[in-house]
Amino acid sequence: MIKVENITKKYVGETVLNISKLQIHRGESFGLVGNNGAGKTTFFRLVLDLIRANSGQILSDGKPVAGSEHWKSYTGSFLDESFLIDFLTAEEYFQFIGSINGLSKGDIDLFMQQFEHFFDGEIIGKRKYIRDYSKGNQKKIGITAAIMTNPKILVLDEPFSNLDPSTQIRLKKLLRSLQQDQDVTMLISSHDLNHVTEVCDRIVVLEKGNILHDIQTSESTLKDLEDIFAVE
Amino acid sequence: MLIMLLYLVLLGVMLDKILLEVVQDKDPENVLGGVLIYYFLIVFVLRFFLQSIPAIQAVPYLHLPVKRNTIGHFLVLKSFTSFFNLLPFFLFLPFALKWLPAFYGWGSALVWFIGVLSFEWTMNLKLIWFKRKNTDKPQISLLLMVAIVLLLALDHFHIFSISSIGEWYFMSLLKQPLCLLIPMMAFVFWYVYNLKFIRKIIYTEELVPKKSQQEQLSSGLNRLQKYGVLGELILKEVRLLFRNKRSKTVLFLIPFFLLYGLIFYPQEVYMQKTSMLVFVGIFVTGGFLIAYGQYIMAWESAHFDSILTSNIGMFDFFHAKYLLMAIPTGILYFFTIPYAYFGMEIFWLNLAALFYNLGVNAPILLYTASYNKKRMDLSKGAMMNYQGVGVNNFLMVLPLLILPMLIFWPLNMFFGYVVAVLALAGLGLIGIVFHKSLIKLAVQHFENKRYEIAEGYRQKY
Repeated sequence: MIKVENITKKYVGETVLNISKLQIHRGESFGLVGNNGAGKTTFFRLVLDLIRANSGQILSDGKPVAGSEHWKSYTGSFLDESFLIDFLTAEEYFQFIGSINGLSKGDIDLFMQQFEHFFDGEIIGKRKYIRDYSKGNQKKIGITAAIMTNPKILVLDEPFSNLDPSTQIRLKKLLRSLQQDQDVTMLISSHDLNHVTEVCDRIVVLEKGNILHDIQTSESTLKDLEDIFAVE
Repeated sequence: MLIMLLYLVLLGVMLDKILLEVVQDKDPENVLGGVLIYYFLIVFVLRFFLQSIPAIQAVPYLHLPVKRNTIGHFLVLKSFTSFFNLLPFFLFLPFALKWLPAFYGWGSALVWFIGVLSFEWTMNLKLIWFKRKNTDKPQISLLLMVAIVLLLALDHFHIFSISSIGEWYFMSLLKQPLCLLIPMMAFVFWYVYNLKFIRKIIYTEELVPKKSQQEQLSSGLNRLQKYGVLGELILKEVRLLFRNKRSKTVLFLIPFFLLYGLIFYPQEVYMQKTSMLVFVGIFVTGGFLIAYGQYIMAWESAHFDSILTSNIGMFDFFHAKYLLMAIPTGILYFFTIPYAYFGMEIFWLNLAALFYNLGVNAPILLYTASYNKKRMDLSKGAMMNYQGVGVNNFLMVLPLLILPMLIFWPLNMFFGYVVAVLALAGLGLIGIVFHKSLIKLAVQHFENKRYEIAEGYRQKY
């Protein structure tokens, strides 16, 4: 589904990402872990064609993402608050994202009903602009909008941070069911080793832009990851 | 906005001449005394719209070991950094230095200006209190405007003349410096009052006022959603314009753009320089187009990643932008039709300018949008705010105004007025007919620069 070929990204001469080969298969839930500056967000931005690679390319569904628009119709993403249009209300934002993806008003309402549990009464009917929501609730809005378009690929950067414990648990359930029932390919980064091992069946450890480990999740993965990061 | 500033200074320097010109039977200082009262009132309304109250800015300091009294002083003083408090320096100081000393001496001139300044600054203090009280009632500004119009009417029909009170006071001020005590006492009173007021409301939760919604407007525009992606994009942009401080300033300037012609048309000197009238025509019919269009993409810098990753074709994106410049410009044009009063030449010229704006200037702005890579914070006002403003912006706006003059001038000289007007209109019409191709050019240009633009918009500063 996503194929990375010899991609490098440099900022002011320093290589921040260097992946020679990586393939993410359809329906795979792919976890990306690493310390700050490991290149997680850079990788996601390259997948979403938000920055220019210095060399190499990323293919989505067999076609390069750079400079093309075909992937936009089946890719949902939420990296940070610049993905939110903060002067809209939550409803207006969902309406906007929904209709540019060809959903009808009915589709959108139905979808909102399904998400009532996830929202926990915090999002809908508040009559306020997204910029006035708390960080955690903004994140809920962003993740929901990314999922809303029934994507085949879902890219989420740090989806668990800022969320309250109940919502974290709900989100994990939601992501697992998306993968199992709808065969969504997921790219998720996290600082929280617990969450990421629970959700992802494959975990890649990045360090200073290089792939350090590529692990299929098993019983011992969490322990292994903790060992990797427990330096000195 | 630098242009605005230049005009203000120019207006200030020319104020004595203008007053002499407009009112022949009175001295300028007499006239100005009456005008000042209205000036204070009008600026007060503008402040109510645009000036943020200092209380909200206290939040970052509340947890620090700083005395409440100090925070209070700080907040009240901070409000003086507002642009409006500087306005008298641009508008009235030149007058005080240029005109008054010859008749009343330097001392009186200075006293006069200090008097004006302390009135304006008292208004600033009054506003803090007033806006805090009325922050959730935007309709109050309408009431204020009605009140001003009422006062003007009473003045006009000689029923009650507030301007003569102003005239009387500022004339006395020139003769008797002790009159300065009135505004100064008012200033001290409001300062102390505000200090108390702010200390009382200094708890965070009381500080941040509840947002009042502008649902009415939006629901009227929901019909736009019928027009698919394009309608949806336009709707989003309209909401952007009405819900952010920076963009609201542009809306606020619209009446000034429209009235701009009144400075030029009544004067014979300008009426003879037809090329100058081209400039006026472009500005009157395209003021909004230029003010909004010069940041056409930068408006969306805060959520630009969302535009790039969502399922929006770039052609649709730019097409919506074009319509957002064109439709309001078309509607606003009808307000400029009354300028036909100054002659049919003006009418035909402005119509040509409208076509030129829609067919040439709007596509140019779409094209040059890709040169602006600076993030813009929509929550800050536009006055004296150079965020998202680069040298590029000024260089971009100039050709929009000067190019049509350069086209018009030689044609007018060699072939006459009709040919020159037809040429402008013709160019515009060609642009309008082929606007989709022109948009495509702008999109191509954007695609070459998209990464740099997106990177620039991500830089917060």
